[in-house]
Amino acid sequence: MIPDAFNMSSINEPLAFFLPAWPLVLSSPLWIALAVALAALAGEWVRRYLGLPRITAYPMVGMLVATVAGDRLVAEHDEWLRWGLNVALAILLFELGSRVDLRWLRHNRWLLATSFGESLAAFAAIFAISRYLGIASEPAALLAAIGMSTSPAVIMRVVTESNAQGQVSTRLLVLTALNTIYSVVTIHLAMGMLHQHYSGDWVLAISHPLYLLGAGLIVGKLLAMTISRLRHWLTLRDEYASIILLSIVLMTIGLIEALRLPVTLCMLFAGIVLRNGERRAWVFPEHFGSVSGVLVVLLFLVVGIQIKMEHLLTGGALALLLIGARSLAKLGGVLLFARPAGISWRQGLLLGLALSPAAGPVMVAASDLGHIYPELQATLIPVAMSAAAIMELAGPIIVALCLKWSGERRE
Amino acid sequence: MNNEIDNNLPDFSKSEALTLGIELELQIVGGQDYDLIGAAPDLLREMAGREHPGDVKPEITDSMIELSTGICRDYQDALGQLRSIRNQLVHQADRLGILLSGGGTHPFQHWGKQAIFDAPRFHQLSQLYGYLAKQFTIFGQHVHIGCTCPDRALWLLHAFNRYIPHLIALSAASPFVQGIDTGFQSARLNSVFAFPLSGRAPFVLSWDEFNAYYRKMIATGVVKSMKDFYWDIRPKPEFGTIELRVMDTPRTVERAAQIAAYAQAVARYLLEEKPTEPREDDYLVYTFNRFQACRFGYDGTLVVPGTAEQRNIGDDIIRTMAAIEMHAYDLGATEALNLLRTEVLQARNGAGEIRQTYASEGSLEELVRQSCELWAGRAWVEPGWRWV
Repeated sequence: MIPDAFNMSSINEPLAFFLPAWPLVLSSPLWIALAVALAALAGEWVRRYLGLPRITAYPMVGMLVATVAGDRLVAEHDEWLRWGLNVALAILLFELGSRVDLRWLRHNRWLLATSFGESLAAFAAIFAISRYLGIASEPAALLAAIGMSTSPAVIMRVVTESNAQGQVSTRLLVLTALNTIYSVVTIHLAMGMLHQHYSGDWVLAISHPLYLLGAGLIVGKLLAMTISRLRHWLTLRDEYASIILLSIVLMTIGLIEALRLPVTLCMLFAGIVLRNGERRAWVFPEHFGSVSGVLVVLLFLVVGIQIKMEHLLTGGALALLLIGARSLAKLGGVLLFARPAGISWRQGLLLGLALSPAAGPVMVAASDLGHIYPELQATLIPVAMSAAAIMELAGPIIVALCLKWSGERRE
Repeated sequence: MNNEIDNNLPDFSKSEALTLGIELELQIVGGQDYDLIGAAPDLLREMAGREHPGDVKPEITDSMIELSTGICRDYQDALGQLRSIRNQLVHQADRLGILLSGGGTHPFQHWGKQAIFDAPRFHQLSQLYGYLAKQFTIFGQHVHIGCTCPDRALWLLHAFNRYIPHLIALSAASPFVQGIDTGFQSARLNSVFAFPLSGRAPFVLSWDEFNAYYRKMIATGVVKSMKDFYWDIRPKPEFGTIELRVMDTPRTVERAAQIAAYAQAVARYLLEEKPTEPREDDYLVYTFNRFQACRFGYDGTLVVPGTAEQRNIGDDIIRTMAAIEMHAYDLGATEALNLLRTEVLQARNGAGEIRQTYASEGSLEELVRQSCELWAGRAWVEPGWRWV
């Protein structure tokens, strides 16, 4: 009987019960981890030899991985990947929110004007071009709303990595936080219009943004309160404190999802409340950023995986037009108020340009739109996808160069 | 700076006796992490063309800025000018989202991170002194006292040496350096010692002799102008003043004006009553006294020059205040003297306040934030967002 076990009739049968089948079945987390390692290595290479921020390399490696492995790598693990990305984004936005000093906005109203100016200009530019391309006003409004936002992830990472400090980088962070808030609220409104949820009911249409802002603020306040309570008997600069901080953030994400609120908005609010709710100096724990380091690589990697070669090409001249118009609009909005807001023309120019990276969710939203409106597949979707893909790759480089030219990089 | 070296001292301008001028070097602090931030170019750009008395100038690293009053008649005049410049500076800093602070050192800045302000003189200094130039990211108060003639200026300069520990103890506001409590009340002066031409001026009492000394030093090639001497007190011929340079920048403009008024009253006392005649031997105890003041403040020991008498620095200040009281009255500085006396009697100065704040808050960032609010003249500031 025993020799039967050694009968190698099939190559898939293991040699012994404790040995694996051949060929090895490798689970996809291993491949994802490999991709993360590759991305991290490429990041170091890019930084050392090209002097570019590390995150420039991550989406490129993602693209490469996607061409080799296809996007089933991401699709199969949709659920936990989504969680990971949410956590990465949540931490980045929390930190970004804590960089917004509301007292500054009160002392310098022109900074607030700059923020409205550049966001509105970007909205108007994208809306006009979409309409020109023959798109109905609701989806056009949605696209324009998405385009208002500067990518918080790119800005946070590049500013942190280049250790930049000064008028351009500080304002960049504040303007990004603000235009992300406008963008999220407007996106939800535009979605509501698009799905005809309101159907002429003005009460619904008004209470929707109020719920987002109000509930978002309450969740933010709760998180901020918890942390400032903790701070009284915990050294938050300690490495171990960031474990507690991280688990609180995770719990908050759970709460946010249960309340059907956008993570972006709540975490930004939490950061802002934390920073401004108390008089004491708030400085983020040093190790907190490194906790999310791996997740950040993953975030940009996944963004890259979603970019396909054809995206870069199909949009063509129209995509460049969209990018150009949006960037010019943001630049114009900043330059218009540059001098009264207290920065030089040169700083205004660099700040305006540095606002150009587009937020990651553009591509997701664009492909969603494509499913709802198949007729857009031919016109808007490829242009938007293409524009987003180009900006994902070029954004970090633009920001890094702007910070370098502003002389605020301290490496 | 041109390379042509003028071998002669500039002529000593005649100033009205006992007029005051105050210079304060300020810390520029980032609103994000409360560390020093290189925002001097931004601040100077925004200050350009604004109405205020005095002047605002860059300093060696671009996280420092210097404000100076015009010529002040008295304490009230100096206080008014300082407040007015302070308010304009704070207003512009608010617009830029940055903060300003007094104090002789930033508690936790790292000198390696500082950048040299982009001007030829500062780059030359940086080349000559290497890392010392960046370590010079320290913040002092300079007080000019007007003199009618150069010989009187030199006499006053040397007569004043006995009171240098007073000025150090009253202004001391730099216990922390690079994140560590040094145990000193004014650790800032330790950085000044590192410079080869720091310390005391040579003991000469006539302007001709001083000129001869100056020409000899120029001939050695060691110095190029008066600016290269980092003495505790030095004559400033262009202004017709002597310049007292040992003070830390106090934590408020009010305190800065009071200390200047104290120095002014001491100068008047010295010039009019001539209680002692300065001698070279006075300097035997000079560095000892100076060290005691830096290290222990009011609790330090002072050896009275020319005697072996040891006194507590705080007691010596109180005695001196009694001696100069009438002069302070005549100069309109009684209020300043009274305020300072209270501080000395309560053994309070900037260094003590800084240590106390750190002990109760436990965070250097919070300490810096409070120092900035104090400097801005809004000690109790509203939370950023009341209605949340």
